[in-house]
Amino acid sequence: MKNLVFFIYKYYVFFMFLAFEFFALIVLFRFNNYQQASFLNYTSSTSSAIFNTMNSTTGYFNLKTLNDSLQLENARLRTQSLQSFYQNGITKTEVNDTLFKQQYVYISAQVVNNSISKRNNFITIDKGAFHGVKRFDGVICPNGVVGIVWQVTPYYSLVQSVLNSKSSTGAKIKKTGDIGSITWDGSNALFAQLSKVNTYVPVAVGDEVVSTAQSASYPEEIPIGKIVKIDRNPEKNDYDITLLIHTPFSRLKNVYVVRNLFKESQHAAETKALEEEAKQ
Amino acid sequence: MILDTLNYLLRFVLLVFFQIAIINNIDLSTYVNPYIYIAFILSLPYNTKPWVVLVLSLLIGMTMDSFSSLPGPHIAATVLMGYSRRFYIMFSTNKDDQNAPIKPSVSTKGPIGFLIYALVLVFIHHFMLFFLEAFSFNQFFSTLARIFFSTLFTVLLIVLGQLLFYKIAKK
Repeated sequence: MKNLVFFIYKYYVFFMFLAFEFFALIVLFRFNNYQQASFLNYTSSTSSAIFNTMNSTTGYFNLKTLNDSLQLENARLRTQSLQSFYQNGITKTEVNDTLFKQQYVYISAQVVNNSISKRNNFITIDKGAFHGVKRFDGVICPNGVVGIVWQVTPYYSLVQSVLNSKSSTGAKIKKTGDIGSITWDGSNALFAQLSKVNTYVPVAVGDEVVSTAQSASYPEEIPIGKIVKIDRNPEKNDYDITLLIHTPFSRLKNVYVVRNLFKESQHAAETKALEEEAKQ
Repeated sequence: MILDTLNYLLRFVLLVFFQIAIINNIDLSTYVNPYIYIAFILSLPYNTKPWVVLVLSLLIGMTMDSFSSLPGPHIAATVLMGYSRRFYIMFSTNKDDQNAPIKPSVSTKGPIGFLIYALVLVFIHHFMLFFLEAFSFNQFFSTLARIFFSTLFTVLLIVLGQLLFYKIAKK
């Protein structure tokens, strides 16, 4: 016993080093494996407040471009709103509208922290569980898709950006409707990769790629990018396509969290189908 | 002694602030991510107690981690660097210097000596950090390229900063 104490005392620096490394790795593995990030909950209140202050100072620099893009979006939405349609016939108010049932709810949010040059990029936004944000909700901006909500705290959320090695966004080619999957190889924040598109699909450079509602996180046809390069994958029977991303990740400011009100029922249907398949 | 502690406290705050407010917002390329806050550990005097170095590494690592979205990598990398620092100093300096309160810098170690010291330790830090951030050995070589270029930039920025503050201190 005495020897052991002496041994630990002699090499206490080494044991301290081991303990600290162990602590760091446990925190990291927990974050990568578990849903609840206690660390994030613990630190986000202070660091987010600091990011907020920093943002309110730098926010003025690109106010003009932001206003322009918001105005454009407002104009587009105004044309789509009910008031811009001429109503032919007698209006009838019905509380329980069975023909139109609200599927998507949009929550506007501000980006408080963002990175584009890491291998795994995350975005912090200033809306959280209190505002109705849930895990795996989609996040879009006026120009296109941004990412998926990854962690939710009461007042902030962490969004896994499309620019993340673990992100895989369901997408389709607008012209043909064929689906594929968007990933990011980490080399350039302007370009993403579209894979799993079969070689029989007639794709061309310049085609638009949009989101698909199959993933249940994004609504149908939110723009993602434009095809700039098409390579044939010799091993598999599909294409390696490079996209120019529409979303300006480097100056992201105003985003919307998309809450799909039908998501739970879609997932329930899908898991039920899988369970039945497993039984057979 | 108290002045020295205050000096290091100020350095800690300034480096962390500079890193978060400015360096982290410069998106040069995915291959260039300099982390200059580790200059704090590099600049501790030779005779700092090893456990103090480790605790300070843990503190600055935790501070950086709380400002990043992935908890853990900065702690692991900085603690590893703080631990390795001792061995590099043992290996590169004589016994008398090791027990003297000499602060490693361009002026005390000479340009070449400091450059090698910074390169070795920054490389150790970045190696740990970038592999933990990637969290896989897929794309091994692109992560290595990231480590290589970021190390060069971090060392460049640290040396430039040293020269700047050395000039100011001399005046």
